[in-house]
Amino acid sequence: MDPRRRRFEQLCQPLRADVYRFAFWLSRNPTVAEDVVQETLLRAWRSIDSLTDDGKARPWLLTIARREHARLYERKRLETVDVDDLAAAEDPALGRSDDQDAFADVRAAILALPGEYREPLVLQVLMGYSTDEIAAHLGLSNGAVLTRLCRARQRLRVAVLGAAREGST
Amino acid sequence: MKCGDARFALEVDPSSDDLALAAHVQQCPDCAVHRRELLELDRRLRAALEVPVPAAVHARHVDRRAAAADGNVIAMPTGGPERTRRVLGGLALAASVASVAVLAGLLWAGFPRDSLAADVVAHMAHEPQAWSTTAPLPTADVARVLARSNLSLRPRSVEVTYASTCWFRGRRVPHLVVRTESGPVTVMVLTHERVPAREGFDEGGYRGVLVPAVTGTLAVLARDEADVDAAAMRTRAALSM
Repeated sequence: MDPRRRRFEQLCQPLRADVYRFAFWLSRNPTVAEDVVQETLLRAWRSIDSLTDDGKARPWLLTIARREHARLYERKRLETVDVDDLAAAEDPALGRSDDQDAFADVRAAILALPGEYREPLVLQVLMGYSTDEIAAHLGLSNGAVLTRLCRARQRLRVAVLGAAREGST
Repeated sequence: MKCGDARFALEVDPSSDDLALAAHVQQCPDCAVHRRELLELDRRLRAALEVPVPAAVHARHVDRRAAAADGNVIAMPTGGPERTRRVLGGLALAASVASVAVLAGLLWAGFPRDSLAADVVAHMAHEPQAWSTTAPLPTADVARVLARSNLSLRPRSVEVTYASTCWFRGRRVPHLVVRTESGPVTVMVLTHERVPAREGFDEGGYRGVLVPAVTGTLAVLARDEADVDAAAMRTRAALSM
């Protein structure tokens, strides 16, 4: 295997799951997410030489994925989907056998968040980004990121924990 | 720090290690409850965000397209935008989402261990620095990491050069790099995962095995020719709960 390909394999291929999940939560659509993964990896392969720091492969790929997702929407003007329909349709694929109902509720609540709240939350909780890294990724001020994370959790706290409490009483 | 500021800080990041916030939470019962709730919320969010990844995403067709591009052959996208175009439109999109969801569900149910291996490989990219350490860690450091998962390692049984507690599928698990005669291997002790028998994999530049253990499942990976099976046997024998 040539060194360039080996580098691509070692840096980018293990991150496919991360790119898919990030794209899924951006697009709220598994089909689009798969497309974003393909386009992202193809673009990454073409520009792998521009990645100078191997330790930054993940933020580099996620930045590409974000751009590819935006390009898809820009080109195709994808129609929006009703969140309730989407969550219901996705339950069979997204649920886990050990805690299916709990995950379905939480996922529906996340899907219902406005994109401007959902994306920083995904970057923080799923990808482990700091607020500074989120600000750099999204091109926002640190203050704006703090506000969005705070509002995201406020909404989810009501939707997830509030619902659980009502159900248990 | 006032309660309002503390609540804002907690809602931004419940896991924050800010000293002023920690001091406030320690002496304010209401904020302590708020923090516990938000930590529980984050635990559930993390698990929910880790949606199953369709097997197609792990397939090699992207590599073939890359190979075509590398050879200066015009690579025609076989999926991507063309497939997206087909799913445009209200009912068509809904039907497509449902179909993909069902298909993904079937794949998820049919190949759960492939996904486990893929997730382990994906995790490797999160800590590339783990491979670069070569000096053996003090026994106490390794013990501290393992103790968080109620595990222990027989003294002098294996040489650990890296030890960390990592998030994996919504749980905290030990992530070790073990030095062997044939090269370094990564060992993840997946206490909450079960595999019925040894399963090998070769993916994303890593060779590895998943092996059942009394401690759950051991995932052992190498980037080169290191003997992952021997490392798995040795580590499994050295670990106890």
